[in-house]
Amino acid sequence: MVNPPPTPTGVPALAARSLPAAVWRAVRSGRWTSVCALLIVVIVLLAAGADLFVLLEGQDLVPDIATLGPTGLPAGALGGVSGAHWFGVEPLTGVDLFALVAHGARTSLLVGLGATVLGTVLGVLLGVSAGYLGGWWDRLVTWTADVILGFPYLIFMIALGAVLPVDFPRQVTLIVVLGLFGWPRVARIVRAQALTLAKRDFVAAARVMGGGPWHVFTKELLPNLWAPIIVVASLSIPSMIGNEAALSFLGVGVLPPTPSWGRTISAAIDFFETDPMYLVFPGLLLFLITLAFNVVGDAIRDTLDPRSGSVA
Amino acid sequence: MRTARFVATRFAGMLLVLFVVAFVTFVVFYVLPADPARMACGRPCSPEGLQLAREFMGYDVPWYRQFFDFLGGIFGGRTFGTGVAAIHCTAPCFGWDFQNNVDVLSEIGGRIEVSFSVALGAAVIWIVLGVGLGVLSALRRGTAVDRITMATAMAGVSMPAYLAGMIGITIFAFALDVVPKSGYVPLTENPAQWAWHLVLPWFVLAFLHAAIYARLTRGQMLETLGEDYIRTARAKGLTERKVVGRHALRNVLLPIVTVFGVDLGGLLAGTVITERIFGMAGVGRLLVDAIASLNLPVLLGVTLFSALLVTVLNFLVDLCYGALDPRARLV
Amino acid sequence: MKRGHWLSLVAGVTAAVTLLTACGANDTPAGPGGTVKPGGNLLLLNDGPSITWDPAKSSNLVVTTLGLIHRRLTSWDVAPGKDTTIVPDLATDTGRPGDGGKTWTFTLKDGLKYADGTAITSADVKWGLERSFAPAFSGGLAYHKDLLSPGLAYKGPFEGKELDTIQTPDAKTIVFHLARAYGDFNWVASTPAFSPVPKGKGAEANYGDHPVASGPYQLQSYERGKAAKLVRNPNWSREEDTTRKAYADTVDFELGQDTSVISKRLIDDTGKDRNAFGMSFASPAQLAQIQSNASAKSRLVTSESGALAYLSLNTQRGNLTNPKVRQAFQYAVDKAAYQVASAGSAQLAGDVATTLITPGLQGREQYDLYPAPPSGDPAKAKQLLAEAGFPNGLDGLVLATHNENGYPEKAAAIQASLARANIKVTIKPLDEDTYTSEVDTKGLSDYDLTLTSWQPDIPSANANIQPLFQSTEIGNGGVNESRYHNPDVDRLITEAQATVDPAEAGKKWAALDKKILADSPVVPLIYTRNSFLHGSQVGDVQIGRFPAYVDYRKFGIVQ
Repeated sequence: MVNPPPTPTGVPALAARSLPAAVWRAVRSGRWTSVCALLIVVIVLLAAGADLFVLLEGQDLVPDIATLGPTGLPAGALGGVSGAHWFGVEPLTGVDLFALVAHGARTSLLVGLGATVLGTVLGVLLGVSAGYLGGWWDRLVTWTADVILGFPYLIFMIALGAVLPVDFPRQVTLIVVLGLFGWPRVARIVRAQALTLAKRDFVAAARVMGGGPWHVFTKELLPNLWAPIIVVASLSIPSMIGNEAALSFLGVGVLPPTPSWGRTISAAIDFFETDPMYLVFPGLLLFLITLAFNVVGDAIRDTLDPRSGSVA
Repeated sequence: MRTARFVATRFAGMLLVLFVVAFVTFVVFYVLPADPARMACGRPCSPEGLQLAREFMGYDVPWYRQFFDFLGGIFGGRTFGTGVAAIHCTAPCFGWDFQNNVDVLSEIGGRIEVSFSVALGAAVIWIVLGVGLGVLSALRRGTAVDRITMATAMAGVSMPAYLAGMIGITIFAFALDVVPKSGYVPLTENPAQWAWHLVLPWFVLAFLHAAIYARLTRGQMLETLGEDYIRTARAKGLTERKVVGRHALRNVLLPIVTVFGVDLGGLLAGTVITERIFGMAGVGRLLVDAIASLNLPVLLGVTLFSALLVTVLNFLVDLCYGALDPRARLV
Repeated sequence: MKRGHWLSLVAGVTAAVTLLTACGANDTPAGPGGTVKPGGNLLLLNDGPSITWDPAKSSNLVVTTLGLIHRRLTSWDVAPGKDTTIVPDLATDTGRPGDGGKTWTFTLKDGLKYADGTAITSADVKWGLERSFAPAFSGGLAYHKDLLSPGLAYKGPFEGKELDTIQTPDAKTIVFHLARAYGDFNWVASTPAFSPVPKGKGAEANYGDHPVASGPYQLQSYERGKAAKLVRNPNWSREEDTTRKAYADTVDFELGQDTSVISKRLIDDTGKDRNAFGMSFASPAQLAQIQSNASAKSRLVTSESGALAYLSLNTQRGNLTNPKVRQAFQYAVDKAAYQVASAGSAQLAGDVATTLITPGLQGREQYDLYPAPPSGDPAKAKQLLAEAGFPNGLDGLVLATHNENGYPEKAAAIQASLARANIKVTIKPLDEDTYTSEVDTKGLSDYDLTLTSWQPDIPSANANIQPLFQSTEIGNGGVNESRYHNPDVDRLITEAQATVDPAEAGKKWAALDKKILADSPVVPLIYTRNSFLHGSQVGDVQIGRFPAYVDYRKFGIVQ
């Protein structure tokens, strides 16, 4: 690595701020942001400690038709919500809904975060390099993105689901496939930004002063790309969770009996009129986690890019 | 000269993309232990019957032969079977749907109007709504308008399409009974009814997508408004309308166009659910039905078709870059 | 008709019918005292995108869609509360067997005409069957094919050859020379391929878009994925064709509709939907909603019986080769939980099954070899497992099932009930094609258990037993999913198939039923009821004991 050249004037010294510090500052930037951050922590804890919490409730994921009424709907009001069943029970099977939702949180977060990280990392690396280096590499990346975007990933997932052995962890497959099909979106946005940045004076100056590609990437481009990356990533998490839901809905996502919010929501939509609570609990949690990620993502963005904050 | 070369290069690239997509689809289904001939075998299906069906459909040869048969069909047409009952699929033959006994291209052609009506109508609404609300939010940053807009945007982002569609139809078509429950009326038949039947699907799709645009516009707008040249423009005493309209918005549109190109291609997937819920027979619905019945020729045809669409749209997006941002003009 | 819903969708059958909640009761018109009379427009709502109108390519049952435009040699007399019997349709009788069941002769009625006015001849019936052998027109029910041309040596009439096992000595007589004696051939003559196609016609691939009708209606228009319209066939006679009522003047189909929207529209019951009938089964969620709506509840028709849902035990795999281990499953399974997971209640799901032959088939005998409460007897199961040498139960079994129609949830109910007897099972839901290739095509399947259901295509115990338990049906697309191989049973099946006298054949099948279940290759779960919803102006919506579909020939508009 060559020594960093002096920072050209006009570029905010964002690189100096570390990301964790920025996140911490962002989390404390407002009341709602703090609440949302807390929410993320709570749901992540719920996901991580699902077994413990369910044990605390005194239930498990085993069907129990004794909790159901004569039509297969939960016995009792509000979908069977009670001290024994905090969220009530699932219609037709009598599985405890809290257990289902807690374990489902694990699946959804694992897939949502995993796929986002993979897709974003790939997208940023490929997008920046394409936009900055240009030439045949740019054409190859753009072209590959075109191929991937033109390829219905649904079909690919179904095909994969059909050939993978039953004991192969489906969550890993989902992360890899969603990540591989998710990077072109990130890459296209990042590439467009990098293309613009690459022509800017400060980047050109860095290059002239002998900065290598990696140096320019980490010191000049990346700091200026954090905002779009964070925005794209924060929007990617819920969409990845949604993709997992869609695939699970079609029976090619997480296999039953592994709980998944996506599958539960899909099933619950049909019961919307007769047992709304079945939809409310997983649906609300999905909504809340999405909202929380978005709000916190926004706050991080504002903190990382103080210029936008200065405009009233 | 430069432009001609650019267009020619891109056109060649486009063909290559389509070739690769077709190839990959073929390989995926070759790996899949699926046998489309089974669907044409009947019940009970004897091994002899299965073999006959395979031969007739052209699945008895190795996959690479099948692939080249397919490519050959596009340029020269194909014939399945022999004698008076032989099926002739004229060029360009994108495959033959044996389950419905019709060529795939005419099947897509017959449904394209529906999908375009759904997709383009929704796109217009969400672009206008998304960009408009995004700009508004950015200018009124921190106010109630901003908060409400962004909260709504988040609701849209976090809503699974199926849920939004069902809730929309439950409220507006059943409870309030203000819009039709399902169906599609061709534009040429009755433009008013066409729009009336599409209003709900348009807004459901737009609600889901507009959010992304509103957020993106807002973020980009805020960033742009902080740039020096905007400050300069302001300092020069330009009106806020001119600053926003002429200088800031132009910069904001760059990433919007990028996302839009990607989205329109992927909109086919979005219309799948919309078409299903609102009982419209479009290309998306064709794909879902083909997956359910393992209708390989249709899967392949629709896959190639959507690839074509995305590639063309991305080509247009690239041209738009040049127009919007001179610094990124392609050579 | 295996796995009812899905295959029907593909084959374009998708028929739906239900019985009133009280078993066997007929639907009473909900309108103010009206009765069903000829006239009016009937609206059929279908979630499937297409309907196969070409008889050669269809797997429709006698009672559903295709029966509205095509007649066959024989038909079924279906009514609630009675076993389904065979009756003539185009033929004057239900077929005359000769040569110990190897030759079957049918005579056509006088004065039969197509919708276009030309006469229907025996040569047309023969042509229609010959056509079904052409690879371009395969895909329909094929029970006749191996009997008329073993090994499918005949490739259809379009290559200039006739099928010489079918003879037409005159314009009204048709004689079939079968490769082997087959007592149920007159039942086979009720499948779609036995519909007449004017000789020389139907070479074009899209014949199904403009078929020549022999039934009460003709196809006026058909748009795939969207709609179809049937109008009256002027040459059909209500007096002559007594198996069909065909009350409505016109029948409209709306295709490719979302099932939950269909259900909502029918519950809503407004405008043209009052004349509508939902062709797909009501799902458990829809049933729950219908139960809480008095109007909709009165318009729900539920069959009294239906497809046999069963858990098959792979008799050629691991510890399941031991009959005692397999018998433990008979006690371990909780059929009550399965009922609830299927439809919310035992009443809507269907009765607990203890036999292989489903109710409504002639010769069926009710028995119970493994008496236990509906929720099972885990203690007895554990005891049998201990006796077989597995005091700690079984571990690592894999259960394959379908990935739709609630099968994963039903499988979870089975999984939980087996766990009570220390039998640990992993569920693998498979999409339809993978299921077929992994479970039904491989000679040796990799799965220990499969959860599926079976509804015969014809109302004969033969169609209930033979496909599931003859060793010839192992792999290669056969559905002997338990890989049951018993030479004794194979021989008895062939014998029963060759028996021409229905009563005698019935006894043989009933004996086979018990003999097979004593080996415990499958656990019968329930006789799956189907429920269908219709608008308030639709009346005479009936489901017989077999099949579990509404008889489309009989419903109409309340005037």
